[in-house]
Amino acid sequence: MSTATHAHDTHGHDHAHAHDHHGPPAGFSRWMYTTNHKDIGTMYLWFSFAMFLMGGSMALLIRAELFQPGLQLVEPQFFNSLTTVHGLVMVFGAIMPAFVGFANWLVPMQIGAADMAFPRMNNWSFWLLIPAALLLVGSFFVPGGAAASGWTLYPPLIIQQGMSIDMTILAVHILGASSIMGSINIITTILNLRAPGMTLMKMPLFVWTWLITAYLLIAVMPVLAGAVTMLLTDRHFGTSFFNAAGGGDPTMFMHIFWFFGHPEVYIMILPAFGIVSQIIPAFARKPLFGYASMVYATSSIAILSFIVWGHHMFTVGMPAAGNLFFMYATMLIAVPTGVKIFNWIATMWKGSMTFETPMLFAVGFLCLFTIGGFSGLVLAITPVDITLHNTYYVVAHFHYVLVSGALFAIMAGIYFWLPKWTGHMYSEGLGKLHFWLSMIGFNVAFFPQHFLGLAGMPRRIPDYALQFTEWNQISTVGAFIFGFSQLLFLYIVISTIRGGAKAPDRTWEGADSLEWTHLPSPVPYHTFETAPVVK
Amino acid sequence: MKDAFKAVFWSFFGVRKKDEYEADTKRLTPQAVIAAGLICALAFVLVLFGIVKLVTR
Amino acid sequence: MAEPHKPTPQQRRNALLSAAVLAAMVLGIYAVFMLKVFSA
Repeated sequence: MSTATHAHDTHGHDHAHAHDHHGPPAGFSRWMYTTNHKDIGTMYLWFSFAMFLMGGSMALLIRAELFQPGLQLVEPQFFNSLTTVHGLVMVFGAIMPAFVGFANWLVPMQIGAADMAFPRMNNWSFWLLIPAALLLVGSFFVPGGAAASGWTLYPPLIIQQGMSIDMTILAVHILGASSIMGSINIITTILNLRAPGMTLMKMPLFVWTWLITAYLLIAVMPVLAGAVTMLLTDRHFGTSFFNAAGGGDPTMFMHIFWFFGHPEVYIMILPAFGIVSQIIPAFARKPLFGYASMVYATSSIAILSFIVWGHHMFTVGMPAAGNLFFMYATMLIAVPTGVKIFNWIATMWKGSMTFETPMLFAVGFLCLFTIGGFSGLVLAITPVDITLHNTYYVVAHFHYVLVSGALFAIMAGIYFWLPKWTGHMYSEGLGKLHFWLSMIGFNVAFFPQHFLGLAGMPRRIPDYALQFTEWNQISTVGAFIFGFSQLLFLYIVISTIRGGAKAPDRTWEGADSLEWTHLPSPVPYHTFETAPVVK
Repeated sequence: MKDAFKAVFWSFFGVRKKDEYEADTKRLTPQAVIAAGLICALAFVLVLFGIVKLVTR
Repeated sequence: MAEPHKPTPQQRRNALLSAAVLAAMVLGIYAVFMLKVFSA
């Protein structure tokens, strides 16, 4: 897709913008009524950052309580609410909207479209998030406190608790509706609004991963909606789907939930793969190794993600044949994932690499996500999982996948595209400092949790036996380093928006997708006044 | 149709030779690939299930 | 000049068609699932 059309395109924009009467309106109404994919992308990213800080504060409260054995800071019930809402806020409020924010910003620019296919629906998808977040966080303040069942919302606990559960169920419903509308918009845009010459197999990998992710969302979000609808009727309308006293079965909820939940894991990691697949070639100054393989591997991961859900529930009493099936299937899904890792390594092989902040985060992602993948393989072995289930080993595993996987890729993407979005360079020194603080803080916080889990410390408890004290103290110190270094990130982003050195149009010489080759930095409010032609 | 199955088989492994892939882009239709993908996914599940049955016998 | 280019009528029709198919998929999955569990 290299330098396709006119190089002078970039300058034409600047000129047109000097006397532009179609810029955004000022003030609040710009954001409230906006149908511009860039504005909506920005709002998604700020929303997810706010939720990230909120969920992060809950995590720090959890870690503070776990600094010593015994109960110091919070009541056990409140502790359980913290772990529950931390999980829900981070999954549905931080990671997922952040990727949708990236999709809004980048998908139209990378395929050469002027905007998303349904700009008004796009606006609605975003604004639905606000009431959902208020319901979720507001549930802390109702009688009985916020949901305390764990983010998986397992009955019977979830059926017994107070009105906060209804607020959580409603929040999940609204978030699901928002995700579904977002996915329909993204798929429709990618399939129909590509610039002339932009064939599917010329699309940047980020667009490909989002296309596949959006299909996953379309397939599993209605299942989650169904599961929480059944919880709602169990609570208020006299059904007993999950209530053993009424002839129901709580394990059915687990099956339905994880049929949603495992593809959800890939929903949170595939766009991360896409971002990393944009960044690594740019800083290795080589095309991505095995582009077609990456597309194929992503598709097969998506298909396989539907047949591995049982590995989340090896201990609930499935037949041996069931356990074996899910164990084999889970091990096999590591094959296409491993292929991707090797492709990234092969991309860097003999490249002329430099290590600016986005690349640091991408390489950090590569190393740490691999650790998370391997601990996942350990947990996939049924007999091993039976001893490790519900221990801190599991907590360590999924934080390696979701923090150093998804979140590090988000950070990498922000540093990568911030010059394009704002027109200013971020401070490279501070960016690197942020990376190293995050890297060290994260590993100090979560690597010891492997040891705690292997030693038998259960998850979701506010108090623990004395022999676990030292690693918990180290973990808490690491968590505070990691948490507070994100304020540095906030400072870097705000100061980049407000000013800084002018970013060149093609900030990274190795980046070759349309937003770098065809658009100025900062990108004008409306892009691609004429559709670019891709050769 | 045989080519579609070949492409899907390699996609499950996650690897595809460059010239093979370029040949694929010419000779395959999306409909064929999707159909082959669904059939292969089903076959994959059945094979796994067969192995499981064999092991637990 | 500062107006973005509009999708062609053909693109708009195709977009609406894709969206309708996807929405039908979503509603279909939800409806089949709910009818299955609530009809017993």
